Amino acid sequence: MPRRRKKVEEKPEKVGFLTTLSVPRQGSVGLTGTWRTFRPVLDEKKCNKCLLCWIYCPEACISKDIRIDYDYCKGCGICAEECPAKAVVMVKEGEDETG
Amino acid sequence: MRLVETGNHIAAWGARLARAEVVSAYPITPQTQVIEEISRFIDEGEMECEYIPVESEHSAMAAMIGAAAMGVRAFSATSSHGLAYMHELLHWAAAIRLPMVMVNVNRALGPGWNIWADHQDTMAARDTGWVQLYCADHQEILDTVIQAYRISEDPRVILPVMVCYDAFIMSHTYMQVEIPEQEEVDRFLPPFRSLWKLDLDHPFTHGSVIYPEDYEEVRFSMFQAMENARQVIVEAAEEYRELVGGYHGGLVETYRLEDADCALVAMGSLASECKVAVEALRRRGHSCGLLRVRSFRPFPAREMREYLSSLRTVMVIDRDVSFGMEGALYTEVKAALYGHGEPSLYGLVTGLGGRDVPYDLIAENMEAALQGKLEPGTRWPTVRLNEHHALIKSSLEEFWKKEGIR
Repeated sequence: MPRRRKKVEEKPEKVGFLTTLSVPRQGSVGLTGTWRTFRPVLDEKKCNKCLLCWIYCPEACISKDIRIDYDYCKGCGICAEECPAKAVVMVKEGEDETG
Repeated sequence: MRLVETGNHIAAWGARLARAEVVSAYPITPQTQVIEEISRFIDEGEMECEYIPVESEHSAMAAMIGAAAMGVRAFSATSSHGLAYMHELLHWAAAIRLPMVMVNVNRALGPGWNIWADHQDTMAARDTGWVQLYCADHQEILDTVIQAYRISEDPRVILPVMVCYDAFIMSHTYMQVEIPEQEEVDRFLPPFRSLWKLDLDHPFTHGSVIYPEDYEEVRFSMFQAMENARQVIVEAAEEYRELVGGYHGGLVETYRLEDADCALVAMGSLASECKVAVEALRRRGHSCGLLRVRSFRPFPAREMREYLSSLRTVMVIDRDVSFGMEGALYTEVKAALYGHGEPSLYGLVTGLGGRDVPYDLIAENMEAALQGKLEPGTRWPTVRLNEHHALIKSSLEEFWKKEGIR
């Protein structure tokens, strides 16, 4: 999937001072959710609110009230692996929970 | 104040007068006395500076990057293999856009351990994005180290600067140098204010992935900064002359070119030798001049055209060689002159590994070129097989005989 960037400046002579810094903020490298093959799906009935998924998510894509941010979740599956209540299952993109 | 000192100690004086705040260096060969003298300055309380002795040149440059990223004026010195070892981080320092100054004593690369004058080390670092300035006498070393900080920290540039001078001929011999007053230098060189630095309130990430969509613009920005440096180097030299005193040329220094119909082109101490060669040639009736390249990066292409395109003959002297082509400076001069006039161009590769290049050898080669006795192109005028080479050969032949190889 190509990463698109909005053109800010057309003329190359106006590039000016640039460096290889990146600024840490949400979405600084685009919608990484598009990299996902499997998506985590939460079954709220099984969830015991232990928040292990919130702790373990390496991309900070699970909020403290257990909402998954699918714009940036890369589908690594760590939340499903760590969930003691088996409330998170990984579902292939394009399919639903029932397979 | 006037001092009679080695080029290395004078470079240390340059860092001291520029008020370098962090010096990081690997203090073992091929390191020179630049660092030794700075550590003495610090130890005796003459210089307020943090000295970081590191375990390698790679780390020396990393510590420089760290210091400059904290908005601090950083200095280091290295030479030959030390420069080669820090090569990866030379790219890093330039691309992350950090101002800093490093002295490089131009020494030959091994194997064949040789600590004498040779430009191969800095030629190999040519495309790292560092500004490269070459000095031809001790006073110029001092003045150029101070100017280098102005150039490096200028908002139009923000690139690291390498100040280069020849091993032994300049690094270890003594010359008289005028040391300016600290107040004069301070007027020329205000305290360093970084365009960016590591700051808790404005966090940045370094060296993370940079996509094809973003990379080219960063390189273009470096390219433009180097283009801007042409003007900044000239301005710094002019302003230094005004506020501190001492002038050695901008991007180039010219010598007796006004009425010349032929010219020598060289860098470093060989260029000083060329001045004597110019005098010798003039005594023999040839109107010769010299164009000394002070700034190799950015390359003074416009100046090459201005001074050389109307001449009959140009001879470029390289203390380096790009294997598979010719001397690196020779290539650059030809590229700059392409489509601008038609001087006959000759290249000499000579003086490698500290080989002595007497002025009369330069003069003889120029005279032969002027008389049409040389084919345009590259020559190695000082290559001779001696007894030592013969001994190596006879020993090898014994081995080949024993092994049945030849």
